[in-house]
Order: sequence, then structure tokens, then C-alpha cells
Amino acid sequence: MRKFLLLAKFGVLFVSMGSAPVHADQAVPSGSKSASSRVQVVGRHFDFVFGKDAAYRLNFVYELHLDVNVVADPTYAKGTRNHFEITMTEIRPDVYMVKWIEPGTGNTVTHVLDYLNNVANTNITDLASKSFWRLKGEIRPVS
Amino acid sequence: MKYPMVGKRYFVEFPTMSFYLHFLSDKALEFIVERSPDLPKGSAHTVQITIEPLRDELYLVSWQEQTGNTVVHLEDFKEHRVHAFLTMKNLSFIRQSAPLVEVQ
Repeated sequence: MRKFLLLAKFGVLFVSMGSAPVHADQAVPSGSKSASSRVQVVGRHFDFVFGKDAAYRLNFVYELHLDVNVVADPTYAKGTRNHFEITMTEIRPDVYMVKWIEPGTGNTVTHVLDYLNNVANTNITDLASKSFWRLKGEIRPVS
Repeated sequence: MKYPMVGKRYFVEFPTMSFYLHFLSDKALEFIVERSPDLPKGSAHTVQITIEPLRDELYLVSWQEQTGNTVVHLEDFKEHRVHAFLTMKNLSFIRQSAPLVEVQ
């Protein structure tokens, strides 16, 4: 079960669980680098490490599009790749809120990412198990 | 760690819902419904919370309600603002922001 949980946070699972949630956003600004930010996010690669067997390479291709590659995972092969349509908003210099819905499962993911201190906080709601997971990990810039 | 919200009460009015929040401790929050799509007005609910400090006066607060709804609050006491992410039992995923107003 733990293996399932770790991988699910980045939406590598695409098992259909029924209807997906519907976005109900307010209009919010996207995650462009602000004048006071120090770290460029869009267009770069970062490893998100939640433990020895749970690491994922994230590429914010552009402000609304995220690619995720498995670097290490107990269940899924290294190199497994998925992409998500995201919302990204900067709320403090180099602190971003990022959220998405996993298209296959309907699970929701909320990240709060501090690129200055290299800390990732992740909250995942798993609809099938009605579980709510909170994970804290390290952000390692790759490129 | 002493968190600034513990022992205090706040009113939060989002576009589609509003609540009074009372942080009973660093692990418990009582919220009273002023307006909600799925909870009766005036009803009080106590939830177990997790608080994660992020930056100066910036905290991540999260909980799961008895209904199954999950809530992630990014509470900014410098800007007096809360950013909320709610996954509702009807499968909607709501992101809203509102002023964080301290009340007596």
C-alpha cells in the first residue's frame, strides 16, 4: 500500500476510478517568475525526493504543463513518464502553489514548493481509498 | 513551536463559502459554517489539523473532514490572506483565496 501511495502522488497511476473532479478555480495568475524571484522554474528540471525509493523528475515545460518522470519508485519502472495540466501561482518570492487533477483517477494534488529553501510539501487526495496524504521532500535542481 | 493562529479566531469569506475558524490548538480546529454548499449554516465542526511552517508568517494547514472532503490552507499572516484547495465529496476541486480576518 505504501508503494501505491508514494507513486500516486505524482499521478503515475492512471487506473480509471470513475468521474474526475471538475475544476472550479477562481481566476488566478500563472506562475511566471516575478521580479523578486531568484529561481527560474519554467523550462527547468528538478528532482523531488521523498525518500530513497521515491524520487521523481519534474519538468515544468511551461506554466500550465508539467512532465513527471519516475527516477526511483518501489513499483514503477524508472523512466515511467506522465504529463499534467497544472495551475501554478507564486505567493511569495520563490514559493509556488501548484495543483492538478490526475486525469485517470481523479485524484487531486496540491504542491507548495519553496525553491529558495528546496522544500516540497505535497497533499494528495485519493478518491478511491478516501485517503489524504501529506508528504514533505527535497527539491534538487537538475538543469 | 508556537504558531500565531493557535487560540485565535478568524473569519474567512470565499466567493462560494464562508466560515469562522477557531484554532483550538496546533492539532485541532473548530470551524463554524456561515455559508457552504454542503454543510448547514451555523453548524460547528472540529477537525484534526496538521500545521507545517513554510516561511515567515506563512503556514500550510491541512485536514480531512468527516464528509471525506479534504482541505489545504496556505495561511499568510503577513498578507492576511488564505489560499484554499478543497477536494469535495462531489469530486469538485476548488481553489479559492480570501482575506484572513481576525475576530474576537
